[in-house]
Amino acid sequence: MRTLLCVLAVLCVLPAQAKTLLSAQDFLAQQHLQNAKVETLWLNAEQQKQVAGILSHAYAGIRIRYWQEGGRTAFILNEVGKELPITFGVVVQGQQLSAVEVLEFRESRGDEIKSEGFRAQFAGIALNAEGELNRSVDGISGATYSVRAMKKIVKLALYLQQQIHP
Amino acid sequence: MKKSLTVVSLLASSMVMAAPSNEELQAQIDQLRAQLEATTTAVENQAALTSPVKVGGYGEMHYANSQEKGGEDTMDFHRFVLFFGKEIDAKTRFFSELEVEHVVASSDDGDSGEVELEQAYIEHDLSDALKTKIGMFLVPVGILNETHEPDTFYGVERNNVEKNIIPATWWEGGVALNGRSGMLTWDVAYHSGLNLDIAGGDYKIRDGRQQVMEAEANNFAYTARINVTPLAGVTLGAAVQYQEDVAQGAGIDAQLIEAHAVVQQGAFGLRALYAEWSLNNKINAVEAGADKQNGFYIEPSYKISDKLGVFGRYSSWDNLAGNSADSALIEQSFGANYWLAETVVLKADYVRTEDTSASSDAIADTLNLGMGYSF
Repeated sequence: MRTLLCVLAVLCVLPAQAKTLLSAQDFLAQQHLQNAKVETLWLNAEQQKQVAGILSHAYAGIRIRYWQEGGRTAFILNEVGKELPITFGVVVQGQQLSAVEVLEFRESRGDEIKSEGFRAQFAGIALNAEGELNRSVDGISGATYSVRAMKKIVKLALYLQQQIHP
Repeated sequence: MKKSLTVVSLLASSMVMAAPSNEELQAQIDQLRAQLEATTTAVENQAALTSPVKVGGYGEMHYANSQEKGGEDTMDFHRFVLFFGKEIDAKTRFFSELEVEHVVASSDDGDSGEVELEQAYIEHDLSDALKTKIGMFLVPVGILNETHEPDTFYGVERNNVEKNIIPATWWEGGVALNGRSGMLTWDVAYHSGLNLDIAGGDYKIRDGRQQVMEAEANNFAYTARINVTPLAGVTLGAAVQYQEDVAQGAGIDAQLIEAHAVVQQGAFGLRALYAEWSLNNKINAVEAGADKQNGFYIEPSYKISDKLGVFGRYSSWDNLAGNSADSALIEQSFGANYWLAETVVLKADYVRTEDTSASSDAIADTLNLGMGYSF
């Protein structure tokens, strides 16, 4: 009992900092897109259907903002892993993935997807003729749902890029 | 004629006067655009506000067909689980898991069902790489204990090594810290302990789970785990635990060591785990050899396509490993998963279980079919 009280006391005095997030502005600056033009893609009926197919559920909105400069397009998109949404920043160059970052992770488990080693698997990935990722991505034990969420978001960003730059 | 020309002239001039300039048109367009933006934002915000509590869940149904003469076959909707999660603020979240096992939980003697609260805790970020849990949570040990949705593992039933040795599914009440640094994640937890009814003859670790149900908490337990991901698709992990007294007052302390590897490289997968409990030898007064309880399994798998995967598993576990007599159970199984959708799976496996104890030395074969889902 004494130990439990000590542990709780230590937790109470630990500096409860707000989570250091990579904000949208920081992400864009990191990708040298801080001066990129902000555009909006309004999803038509067919695009909403395709997006719902990629996410396995309807998209919670009718437009998607993106930042564009010099053939590179950045998206900031959310997807639930197991219970709560994860915020991703994605950059597509041409029709290939250039970068994917976790901007905010709210799930209880599975934050191994933040690691650079895992995210590196997505570099250069594209959609094949069937609209699927053109190569496999090895998962992480205990992070199955977060990995699925990241794969869906990468697929979605590549699809959106096709719509913006057919 | 003159009057008509005057009317036309006045009409034309009034139309010219009424026609807005390009600048006015642009201002109107800008105003409409701003109104559309504001309306869309309001609609999207409203949509977000209507679902502040996130709900998820999973479930699985099993059919077991005994291959033995006179063996009993069973059909069971084993688990129906609902998750409820809520982001309370930017650094504080609530998670919970409520489960119904075996369909019916009632006071009737014939009903074997249970309603269980398996998890209910607050998670709070101390920094980007450090967070704490307070409440009732799954003990950070093994492969399946924390992630056990049916679409995430092979086999109709969860493997018997983690069930009988770790013992999954295992939750306790207490405090935990979780940290991450590059390829390394770590957990430490201080939580309620096991409570074997030694007077009633209990010695198997699994029988000591109190499920935080008015649990005796005179003696606590400490758990530490590390997981390393040296390269994408490879996770190596190890956990240790110290129980102050697994009988809450009999002076039987215990240690668990556990190590596991999970590999997924393209279509090839591999899971392997070893776990061992060392109990104070006072437990041998209950059952000789109970001071060592251990087990291991190895499970290679291969995904033939995105939807179909096959596996084989060799398991061995022994709750009386401290004596020299044969008492291990050995299980060999093989089967397949077919993912009907990403999180919906149909399963089939064939399991041969051998009881090596001298008293029975029995072999039992079972064909299992299952359906599982998560959302």
